[in-house]
Amino acid sequence: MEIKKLLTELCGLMSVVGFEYHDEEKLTALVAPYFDEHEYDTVGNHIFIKRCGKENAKRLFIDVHYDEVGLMVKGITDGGHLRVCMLGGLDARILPASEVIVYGKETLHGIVLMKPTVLMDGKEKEKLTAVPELLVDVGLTKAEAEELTPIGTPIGFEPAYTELRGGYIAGKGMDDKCCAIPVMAAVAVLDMKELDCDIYFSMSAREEVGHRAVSSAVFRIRPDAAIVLDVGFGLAPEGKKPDDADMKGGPIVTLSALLDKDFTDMVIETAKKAEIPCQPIVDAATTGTHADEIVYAAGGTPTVLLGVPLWFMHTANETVALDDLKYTAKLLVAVIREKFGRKDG
Amino acid sequence: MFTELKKFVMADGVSGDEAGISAVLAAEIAPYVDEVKTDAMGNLIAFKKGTGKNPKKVMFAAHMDEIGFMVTFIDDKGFIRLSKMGGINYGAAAFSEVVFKSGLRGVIVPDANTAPNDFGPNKVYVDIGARTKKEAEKKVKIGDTCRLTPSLAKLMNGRVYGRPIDDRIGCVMLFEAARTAKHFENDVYFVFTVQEEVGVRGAKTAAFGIMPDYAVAVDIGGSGDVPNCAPFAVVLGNGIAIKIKDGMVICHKTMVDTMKKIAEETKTPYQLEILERGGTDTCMLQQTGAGCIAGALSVPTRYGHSGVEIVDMGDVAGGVKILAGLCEAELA
Amino acid sequence: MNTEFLKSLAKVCAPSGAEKAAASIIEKEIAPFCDEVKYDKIGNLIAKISPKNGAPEKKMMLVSHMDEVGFMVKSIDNDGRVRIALLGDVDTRTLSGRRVTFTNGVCGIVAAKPIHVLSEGERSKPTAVKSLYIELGTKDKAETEELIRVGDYGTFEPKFVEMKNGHLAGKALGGRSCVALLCELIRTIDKEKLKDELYFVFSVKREIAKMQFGAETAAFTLAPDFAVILDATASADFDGVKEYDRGAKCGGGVVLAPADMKTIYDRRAFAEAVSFCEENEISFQYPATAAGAETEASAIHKTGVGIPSLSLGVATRNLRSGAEIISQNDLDATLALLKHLVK
Repeated sequence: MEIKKLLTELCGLMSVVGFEYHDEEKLTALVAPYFDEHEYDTVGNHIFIKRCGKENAKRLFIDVHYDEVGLMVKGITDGGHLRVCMLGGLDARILPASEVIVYGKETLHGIVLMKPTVLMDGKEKEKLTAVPELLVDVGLTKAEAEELTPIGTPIGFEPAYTELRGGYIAGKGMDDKCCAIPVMAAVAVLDMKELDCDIYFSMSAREEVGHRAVSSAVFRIRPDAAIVLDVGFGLAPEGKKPDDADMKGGPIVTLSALLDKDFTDMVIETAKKAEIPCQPIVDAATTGTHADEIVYAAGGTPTVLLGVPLWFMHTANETVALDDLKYTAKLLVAVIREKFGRKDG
Repeated sequence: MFTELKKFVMADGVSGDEAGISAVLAAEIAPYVDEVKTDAMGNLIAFKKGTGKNPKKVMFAAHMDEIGFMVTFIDDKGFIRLSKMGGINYGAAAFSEVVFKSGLRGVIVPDANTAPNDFGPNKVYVDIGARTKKEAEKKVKIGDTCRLTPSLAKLMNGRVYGRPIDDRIGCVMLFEAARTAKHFENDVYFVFTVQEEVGVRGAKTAAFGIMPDYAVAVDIGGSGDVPNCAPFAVVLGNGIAIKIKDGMVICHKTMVDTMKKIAEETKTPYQLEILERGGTDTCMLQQTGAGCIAGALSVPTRYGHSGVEIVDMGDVAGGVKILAGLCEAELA
Repeated sequence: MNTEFLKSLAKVCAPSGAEKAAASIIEKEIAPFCDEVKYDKIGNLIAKISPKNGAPEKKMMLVSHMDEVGFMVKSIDNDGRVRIALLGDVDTRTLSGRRVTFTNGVCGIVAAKPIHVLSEGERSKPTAVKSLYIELGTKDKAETEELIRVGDYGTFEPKFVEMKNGHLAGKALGGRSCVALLCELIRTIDKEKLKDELYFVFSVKREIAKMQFGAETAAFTLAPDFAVILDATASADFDGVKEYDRGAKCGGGVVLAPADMKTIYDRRAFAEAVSFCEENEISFQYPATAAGAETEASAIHKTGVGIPSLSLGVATRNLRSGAEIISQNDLDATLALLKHLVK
């Protein structure tokens, strides 16, 4: 498996929250070969299933959210510029003069407009333009824009990727699609005949607008255990320990009263035994991830939460270390074998 | 439609205490459906069986509850303290008349020396004219609800104002759709939900009981044409609004496209709505169980949650056409 | 009500996420009286009692959470001191200078910047959690790590103080007294006369709940026709607090709320409970304000097709502190109403 290529192809897919169907065929082409079956459910979750072949096998639910933050057209000015609203908690500081892709009836390049500082007075300069006041220029007249980029048109970042020194990859959509790479790598390595569980890998929808879809998948599948993977804050200048994780320090294992204590302890023990670096980090009461829903949905599921450290969250240049993806894949393999390995030899 | 709206507006139904409005709606809609029932939560569900070859389960939801108050405490002098039910604006409610289910009237007043910005729970009280706690307790019990006195009147250009138009106007639209649909291709559930104003509670259990294939919430929205308001593309009188997103939901593309298509086929003017804050029953309809194809119609509304909510009956009529169209359409 | 069992419950250290210690003593206490006792997938303890005669008419669920507020070890400083994150809405004013206990029995003192170096402004404010640490007396990080590790759980020091006029004080006493009430009910139920099937749920993760509650997973699986939720109700029944802001009165009887911030309770069940108390001279009270209050019913009543719910509260002073205060009179009143509710 060529991780770098797969990572940029997967993260490069357009999956702005609410529009998870946009690149469905491309997604299927990338992920389905690693699995036996693929379902696309009513609320937008893509679920890939790998079976162990045993009847009444246990069901392991692995969640990675497929959606990403973006913008949406909410109005068109007389000048033909697009008024936008945020989809998910985009880092609004990066927006002025950003290059974006407008997924209208045609796919168009757009640039976020900004008032140059030379035209501003002192006070105005110190403030960030609020998103409701931001406009996107796509070079169209009002009439053309109403036709090509009507209200409701999604806007995303350009899928362009850069490799930094030391094995870091930067670009849009790493949150949370980069976490799919270790899952696929793990499934490629695991011999399902040695396991007592079917794997339901949910690339879930609508996480960025309040975790709206994953419980529907849980309701249908009724898993026996769940592993949630989401990105976590990588330590950067002015970030702080013990909340942030070291880049290349291995996957974050979240310690939380919300999660299953025994399962979490087992993950840490397994990492220790297999000598895979990992970073236990406390998020005491609530995690802000899909785990918050999965634990309680449809009768409850014992859940653990793993994280990949990431720099520059919710920008067009989210950055992850390839090493962390590899460690995470290894840990997944070890944990799944430990928890669901066939005991009968 | 004005007659029905007036009837629905006058019936009482503060969140959690919707028996009054529920009885009125049940009686009005019964002739046009096969079955009317109430679920454990209090949602009123009117069901009409479809005759199509491949009928889908379609659920329409309009909330029948309204914002109001609940009595929490009566002091020695007979003054009554309240807890708000729903997003009431204490500033807009102060110095107004309230009415209890028994018909008892009172006035809602802020504590002396309270600045308007500080009006809030336990900073306002109701004066019913009682002289002692005992006297008040004869008329009012802890847990009783009251509401701003209802009203409805016509303005220019087919516009009406009053309260609670939120969301009795949606109830009117469901009723009118049941009455005017030419035939029922689909199994249609007209659901009048409870407790929307206190956190979209009723729609969740109603949807769980029905498990619809398609669901549409009908509620009031905003209007971006009043002086000095933030930019908002939907305006009063330009047609019913088909919701694309609000603060709690991004509607299903299939639902948005289906409603647009019906609007275009019936030459009904429509607008597309994007609300950045707030939510309606829609999010619960979409999330319940294994999920469904959910969307919403919003009636463009000025001054929502005040005593003077304004809607345009032309927009309302357009919404009815789309709902009727969904009853009649062959859905995939 | 006999308080011996409550005493042993109050001494258990079982914050949200680490409820096993509480669960095991409850299980032991009730197992002989139940038809079935089991745990669900997230750790709720569920006990079933069926009627002896005939098929059950309805399914009723009675809920009390067994967890308590507490904290989790977030990090360990190089000098061996322990930094914590809170579990639940702990009243942070009450932390500084308190004795605390970890689930493995290790004890420590919560400390902060010493008073002689505080500025005037700092003196009048509660200390932020991130500035607090736990002193174990260890000399460095390595020694601390021999005792506890990151992710370990702790609570206020267990205590059980009997005061005048039937008042009791200790950590987690409001919630645990509700657990004890349900256990007492289980011990005394007449199965011969019972008509409904009863499920007693001792739930997890209540104190860390934001939108969702541990009890809702049990409600989803059991799908009962009716639910009674017992929990502590905040009380500030003393001078200096306006009468309509006092919450419930300690010693004022079982608390019956028509609604709180997140739930409107079943209007019929509420009215029936009120008239039963009136007719049988069981002391009861309404909480004087709904501000801030919520119970597990907020999730339970919206579960599945909807579950009509009723809330019974035990008035608790100093809620979510190391010394909650309750009145035995209230426990007796609550038990009397509970016995009437199970049919």
